Amino acid sequence: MMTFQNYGDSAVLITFGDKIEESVRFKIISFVQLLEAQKKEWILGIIPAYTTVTLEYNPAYLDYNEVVENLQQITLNRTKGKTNKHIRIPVCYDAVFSEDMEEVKRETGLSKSQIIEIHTSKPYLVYMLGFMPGFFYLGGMDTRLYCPRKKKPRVKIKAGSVGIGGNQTGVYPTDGPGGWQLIGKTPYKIFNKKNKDAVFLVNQGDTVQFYEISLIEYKGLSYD
Amino acid sequence: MIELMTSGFHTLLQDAGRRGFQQYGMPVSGVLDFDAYRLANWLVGNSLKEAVLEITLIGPTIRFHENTFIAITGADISPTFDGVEGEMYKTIFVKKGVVLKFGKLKLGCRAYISFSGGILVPEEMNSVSTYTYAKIGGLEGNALCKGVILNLGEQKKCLLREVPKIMQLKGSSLLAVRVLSGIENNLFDEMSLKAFYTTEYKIQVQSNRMGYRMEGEKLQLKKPSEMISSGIVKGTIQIPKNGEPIILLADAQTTGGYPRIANVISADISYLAQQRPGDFIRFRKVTLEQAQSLYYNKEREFNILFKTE
Repeated sequence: MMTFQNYGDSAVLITFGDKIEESVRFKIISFVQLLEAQKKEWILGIIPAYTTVTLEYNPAYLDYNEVVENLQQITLNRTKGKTNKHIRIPVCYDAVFSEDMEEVKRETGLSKSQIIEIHTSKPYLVYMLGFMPGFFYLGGMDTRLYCPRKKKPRVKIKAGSVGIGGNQTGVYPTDGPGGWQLIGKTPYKIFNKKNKDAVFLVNQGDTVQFYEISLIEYKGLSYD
Repeated sequence: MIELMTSGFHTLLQDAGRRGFQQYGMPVSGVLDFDAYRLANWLVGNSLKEAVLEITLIGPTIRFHENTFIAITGADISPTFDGVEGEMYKTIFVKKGVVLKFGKLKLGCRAYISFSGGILVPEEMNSVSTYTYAKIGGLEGNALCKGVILNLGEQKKCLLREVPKIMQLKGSSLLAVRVLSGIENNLFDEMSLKAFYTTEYKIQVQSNRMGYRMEGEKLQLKKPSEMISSGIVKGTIQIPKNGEPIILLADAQTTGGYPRIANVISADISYLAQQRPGDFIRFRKVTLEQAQSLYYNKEREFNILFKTE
């Protein structure tokens, strides 16, 4: 069920499946929770992804074979450990923030209100984090919202911007370049290094649902 | 207290890195040449994980406002103290008022300056390491600029030490980097694998702390395949669509979706980090057992040095 490969000389890649699917996601979440609970000093880092977990280890403690032996002892629980969060994220779809709404309307053939309705209609599963600090990859966007990325990526996108890229949707956690179509903005901080209790709003295994707010509500919730 | 009278090209506060947040998309960051880093701290009696200045290609000008012990390791950028040539890989006593300048880059790419007692900078998420893309670590997450003042920690009892010649940086503009076969190695066609291991690659100017972009023989997959994004570790060599390798370093994204042809062995990452744009690299395959014993031998050598007085 789990396969192990040496990934360089101080990491192991553990593969749980070859497709992006919920059952694989569930195994990975369970595996990572068990690993984290063990707090082994030889573990330097854990990177869960769609179908794999990358584990960096300190070769001063164990060599590759010993690491694999240790990991093979882990049996995945059927029962959930730590309960995952359901996070509701407010999004303002006002024209001030939805710079690419016209393009998305054209590509999807939907009206703005239909786009918002579909985008906020259901919770999304968080499959993994990566790309930039706090950026979460969501699964299960309605295919009607499919919209190709921008031909020319933007050099600077503001933190909190909500976008669609291909068949994915998500939120930019920090200012930076990006190629997604922008349809709105959240006043929430997805990555907040000053919030010691919750630097990252979302974790792998959580569910995220967007809800619409007005520009006035946005300003009321915004820290800027 | 020290003052930066000029900043240099890209002077950063770095330490051993920011561990424990890769699952949230936060790279480890930290010094690129870990060997030069730990030697620098050892020379001034610090804990081996103390913050240092990482200097790239062009050094800053630093005025010392107190007596202190420092050490400079890694790249030789012709350091001078009040105009007098300074030594590398040695504990140096610096008097209040002295100005440290750098000149011509003679060897390597990155130099490290350690200060006895360390540099007083608050940690962000367990580390001082600067990661400029997310504006975290260092001072407000940026490279240090002209006029910056840094306070130094309480000085440690300091012996005058020197790193044996054999453990100091040696120069070569053609480096053989030892690698292990990568996760998606078997997706590449035979010609490409042969080219990867037998031809030279040049480090491009666009290289930075995220990764080295290489120029050379273009590499191809047997058949086009879309990969599912997966974790990235330091030293991973990925092949993007244009076919030219990228060697991922300390500031690389935590996940990526390009096929991984090979991984640089731990023992060679510090040497690699001292290569600069324009230098050539050749990749040489070793086995996991060889990589592990190279690592253990190197660690033994360092540990013996660190135990000597």
